[in-house]
Amino acid sequence: MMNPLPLSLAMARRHAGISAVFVVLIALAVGIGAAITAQERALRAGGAQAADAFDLIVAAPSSQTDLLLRVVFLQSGSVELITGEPLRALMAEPRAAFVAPIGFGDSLNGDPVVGTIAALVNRLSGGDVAEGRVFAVPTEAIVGWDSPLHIGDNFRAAHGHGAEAELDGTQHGQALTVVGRMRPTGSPWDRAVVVPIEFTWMVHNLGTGHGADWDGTTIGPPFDLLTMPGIPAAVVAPDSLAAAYGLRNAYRTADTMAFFPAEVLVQLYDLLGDVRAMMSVLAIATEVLLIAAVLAGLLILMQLYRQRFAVLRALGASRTYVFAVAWSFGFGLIALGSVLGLAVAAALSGTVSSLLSEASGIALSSSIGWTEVSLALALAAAGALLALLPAALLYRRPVVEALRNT
Amino acid sequence: MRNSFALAFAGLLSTAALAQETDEHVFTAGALTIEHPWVRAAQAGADTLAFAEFINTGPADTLLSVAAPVAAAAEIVGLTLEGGVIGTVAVGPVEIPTGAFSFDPGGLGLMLHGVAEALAVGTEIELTLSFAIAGEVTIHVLVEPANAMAHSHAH
Repeated sequence: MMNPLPLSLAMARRHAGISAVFVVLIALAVGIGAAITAQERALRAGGAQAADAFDLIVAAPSSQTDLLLRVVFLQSGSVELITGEPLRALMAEPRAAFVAPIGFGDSLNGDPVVGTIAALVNRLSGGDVAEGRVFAVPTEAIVGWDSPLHIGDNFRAAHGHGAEAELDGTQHGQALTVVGRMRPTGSPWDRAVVVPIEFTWMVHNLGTGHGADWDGTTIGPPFDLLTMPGIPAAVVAPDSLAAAYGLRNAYRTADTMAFFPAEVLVQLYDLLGDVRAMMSVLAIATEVLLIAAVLAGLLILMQLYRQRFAVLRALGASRTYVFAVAWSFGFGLIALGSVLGLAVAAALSGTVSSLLSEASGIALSSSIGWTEVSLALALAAAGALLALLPAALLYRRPVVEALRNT
Repeated sequence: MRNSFALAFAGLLSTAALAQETDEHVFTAGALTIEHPWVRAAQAGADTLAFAEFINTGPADTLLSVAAPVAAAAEIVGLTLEGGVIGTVAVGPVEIPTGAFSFDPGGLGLMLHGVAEALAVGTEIELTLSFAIAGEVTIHVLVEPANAMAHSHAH
């Protein structure tokens, strides 16, 4: 049999405009559908990566999701404090490698200033810092990987966040010096300025966290459990896997709540999965409608071509050849559109990821995976089947009738 | 109530400690009370997770192992987040301290690998828990929807 490709390519050239429109429409439909699944995967991975170093979060009873947003994603908002006996028990917890109090409330040029202890900085930074060192006295700070500050910079933190900080205009009197930079965490902590919790307490007139005989420079635990102020949250690093579950249980009481970031993420991801499923249904419905439209277009095109095909047949081309030309033309458009759709999906989800990363501080890297490739393959396979229809119509049409009936 | 006779009878036949079902979905063994055990619905051959609440009025006990006639294998697992991937990990025996302790979807669970038949919502399966002090206890576990986060009767 003769090769049908030159003729179907010639058809594509002859109708370059309409062929291009078909391909672009299919590419866009596949691209949007595939970008949705790729983006959802990037969000899941980015969220989990960001929360990875936060073993167990203990706080006063409230919404776990709110606390996760505050502690891991450094969103501003108000939080109840853990105080009194529950706080003392928590700070003296023997099963923890460390209990890191977290203090919020300040910002610097829109970036959060967070108070905590050196152990948490080391944990978030993956064991050691990228540059310089961790703070060692109350007036030193270490910045996140993406912070515009440099080692040696001096600054004053502003009270509050964003518009509140600008309106308020209050700057804390005590200046801080940057002494180090953390390794990337993939979380909004990469933009943060991290200071000793004593600094946060002192500038808010909450005391020092240490007893009356404190030397004024030694920072971190042990704190004076009788005078230390209430804390909005603590990150607790268990000394073993078993201790993690024991601690989670021990601090789920009337006065405190304890949770793993993973358990909140699982619930958020369920929701995200539902949204993705709904959007995927819409995207698939769009693809089906589009294929139907393309198919109708092909039928009309083949209708226009029926006389020329009849001439081919009269010249001695086989039915199979005519069938192969018509089929390869239809399938070619759908297959090309599907493949280009993957490129559209990669560009689309790459753009959305970088916009979301910029807005949220969560490192997102989207990639086109097997799910998206199989979506495109499924569509191309459906195209291979659907393209049989116009091909079969031409195949079955008697030559004489087609020649006469123009 | 309807299961207490069957359970007592099973206790006589086996070496298991006599488990008493004082109320529906509440079981006792020694100083331990096991409340509202539940398992997520699953297709035949799939893995699923079971959860329960423990009240321990005695000294700390240890949950050594779990056996599930309906599953190919069963083990004690915990939720983990490792390298950005959320999953479960086998944790081995777990201490049940004095007071309340819960196995719930955010922490510890009992993983049933490869259930022999589909677990339909509203039906029950049996699990046998082995404790260091309280011994073995067989509990009836209510099947809840596959996406449930808690027992539907839990307070």
